[in-house]
Amino acid sequence: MYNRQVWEATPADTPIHKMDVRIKLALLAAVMLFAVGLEGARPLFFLFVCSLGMHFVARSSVQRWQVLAVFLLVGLWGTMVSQALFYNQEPRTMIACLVSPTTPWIGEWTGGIFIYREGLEHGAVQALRSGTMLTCGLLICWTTDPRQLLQCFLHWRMPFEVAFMVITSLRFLPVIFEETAVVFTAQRLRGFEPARSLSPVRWIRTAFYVLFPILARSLRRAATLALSVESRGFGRGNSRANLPMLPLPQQFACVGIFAVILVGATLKVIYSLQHNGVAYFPQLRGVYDFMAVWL
Amino acid sequence: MGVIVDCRELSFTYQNSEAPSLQEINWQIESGDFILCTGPTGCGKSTLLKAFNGLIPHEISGTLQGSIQINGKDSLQCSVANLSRTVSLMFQNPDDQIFSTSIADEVGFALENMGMTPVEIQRRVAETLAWVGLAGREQGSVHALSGGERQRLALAAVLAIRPQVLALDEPISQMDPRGAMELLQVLRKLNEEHGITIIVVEHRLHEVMPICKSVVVMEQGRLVWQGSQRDAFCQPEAFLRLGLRIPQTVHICHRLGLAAESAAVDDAAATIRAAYPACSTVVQEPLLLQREETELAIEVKALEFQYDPAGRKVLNGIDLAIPRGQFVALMGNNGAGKSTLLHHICGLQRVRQGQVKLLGQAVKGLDRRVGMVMQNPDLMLFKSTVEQEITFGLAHGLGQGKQSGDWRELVDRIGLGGMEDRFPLALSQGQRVRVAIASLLSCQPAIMLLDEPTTGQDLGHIDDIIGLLQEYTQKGGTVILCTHDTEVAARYAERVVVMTEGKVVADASPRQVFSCDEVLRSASLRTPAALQLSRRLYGGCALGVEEVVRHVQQASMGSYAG
Repeated sequence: MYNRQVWEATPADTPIHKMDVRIKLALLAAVMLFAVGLEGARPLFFLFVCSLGMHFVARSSVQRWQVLAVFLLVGLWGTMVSQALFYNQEPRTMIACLVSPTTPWIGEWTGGIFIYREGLEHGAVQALRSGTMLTCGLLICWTTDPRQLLQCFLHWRMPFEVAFMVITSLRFLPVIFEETAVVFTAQRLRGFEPARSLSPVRWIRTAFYVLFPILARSLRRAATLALSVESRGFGRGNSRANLPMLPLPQQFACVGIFAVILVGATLKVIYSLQHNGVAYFPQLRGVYDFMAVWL
Repeated sequence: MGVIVDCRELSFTYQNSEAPSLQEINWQIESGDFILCTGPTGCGKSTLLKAFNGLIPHEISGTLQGSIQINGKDSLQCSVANLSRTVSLMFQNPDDQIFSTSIADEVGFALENMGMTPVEIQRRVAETLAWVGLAGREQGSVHALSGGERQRLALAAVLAIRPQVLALDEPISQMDPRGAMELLQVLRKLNEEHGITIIVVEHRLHEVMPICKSVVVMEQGRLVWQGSQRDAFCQPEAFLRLGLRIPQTVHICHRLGLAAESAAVDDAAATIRAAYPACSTVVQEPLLLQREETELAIEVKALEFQYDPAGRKVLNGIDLAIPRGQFVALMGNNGAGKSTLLHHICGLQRVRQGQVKLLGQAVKGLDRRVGMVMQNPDLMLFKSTVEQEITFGLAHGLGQGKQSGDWRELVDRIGLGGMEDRFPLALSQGQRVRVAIASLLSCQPAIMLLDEPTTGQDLGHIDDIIGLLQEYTQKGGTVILCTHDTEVAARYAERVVVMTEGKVVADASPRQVFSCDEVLRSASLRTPAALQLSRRLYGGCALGVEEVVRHVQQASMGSYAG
């Protein structure tokens, strides 16, 4: 977790590493749109498994799988539990009672705390959505050189200040993880043991104690990096080399991705029109059925 | 040969600062020169470098007066991108400036910014990597490089532009002697073979001075001394006055009233022999100070450790016994296992194989009797004032028996007087290290471990720090000081332990260890110049300037007493 190299992009000889950064970002966009647009648990699960499959293709290390598993399990558990407890749509089916409404104080105050089956299902769908995005986002971070991302953002005419800001945060995130561990160690060496106390005040104080050195170091480092890249001609008023044209197979892949996005968006619109009673086309009944069952 | 950088009455004051950082600088730099720019911390050296490539005033706000012309162009009229093609600037820490994950991408970044085609970039990257000794490693990962190689990569990243002037801000301050030597050799080659003008800002002038052509000294924003390398050797008082460390050979000649012609040991020996023909009396110095048997502070037996079960052993059968009150220098190349050993001693790393005992008790976890100063002091400081930082340990139950006011004397002695209310993280690098040391010394732990505490410190402050540590050992405290600096270890340590590849390869008095060239070579360390000179002059084994000077003077008077 605190190992910097787990978080930093590493060069490797895999199809995902070799893929042009533009294709990767287009894929990420497509996955995100589908993750938001799809509502069924099955297609979302399929999308999630596909995104995990890409980590296999990228030969992510065991440590990276561990990090991914922790994030996904915590995300899945947190979303499902919160939705199961606080689901307020109807119909809803109670499958367990944690606090009876007749329990003094808390039961009377909350009206009882229950676990709802629909809430669990809804939580699982939400968790799959966020899990898919997280999986793809980490895949891009772990397989793409920050400089290539920067090149791509600038190629797409993103203001260079914004592009640099995004890339700097990606570049320094691994270092910050590593340094957080060092700060905890340094504090323990100086007699400060925050983990031994349950006092919220102490925890807040600890957060500041950790934040101070990390923030100071990050600011110093960001300032140096900014001066360094400017000294290497990065910034306003220069004629940067543009990214080369994509090779033909990757151009086809790009067109394919956009076609899939377009088809998906069109189907979603058609289905929404029918679902909300705005427009119904009998000849598209097969499409409606497919959408209702699968998407 | 023409003037490539021309500063006229150049002054600069940072925004929100009252005192100017540069004051009326008049400096003409000839093309092809190799300049060492030095001076005490905060004298304006780095600010001046930033003015050379336009970062000042274009990107760093402040008031600039006077003019600065780069290759005949007024820097105020040119953009940073434009000026960076003539003057490239490299910073101290490679990790803060390396941007990419692959070597080729890092070197190619500046070329992309210049709008070069991929074919040209590929060719230029290969050529540049060859210049810095990283040929054929284009596809490698930057994480696989050693500290010295990363610094050379950072150099290649700016060199790819093919600048006429290369300005380097403390490029070797954090490097081990081997890495520093490799980088300096590359710089010399760039200057001699490619005619690139080099300006190096550095505190470790005893290492840079022997290869530069001219030297400039700054003090409080002004150029106070300027001359050729030879002038610098002849007038070392200009450096000593400011607490700057000159090559030991030059220092010895100066102390003997002689003018050194170079920093080379042979030249110094010839000069001294000519003036003091009787200095060659062979002497036998005591090799090891005999200590009375005292309680062991640290006892390490057959300690082995590896981070990865399938990987190499980081510690490979370490045996070490350090009595109370001893001042030990722990030396070795990067990756030798020094920090891992320290982590075992203070209990940060669990002992898996072997044994570590502190004051007779086995280490079972983080041990409060040990204070450790980490290599990066920033990560140790977290309070809002220097006073709170230094008294933190006392307030948390460390340093029992210490009086609450004792720390004030410590603050004064370590050169932090008057800074008690300052925010520690806003202090200079050297000051931050001293705050970290003071915060531990205030608690008087039984054992102190210090990882490279002399980095970024000038000679005066090194003396202050070591003086306090020596006082601490006289009271029974035990010190292990991790350092690459052989001159500091030779001068102050009672005992030197050298590690290579997880093993202790030498453990003896400084005199014994530094006499053994083979051990030093295996650990990428340099024999102190004073020792080399004493060996050449009289077959001696002197550890510092004073010792050689005393011998030469006494031998020449015919009163050498041994």
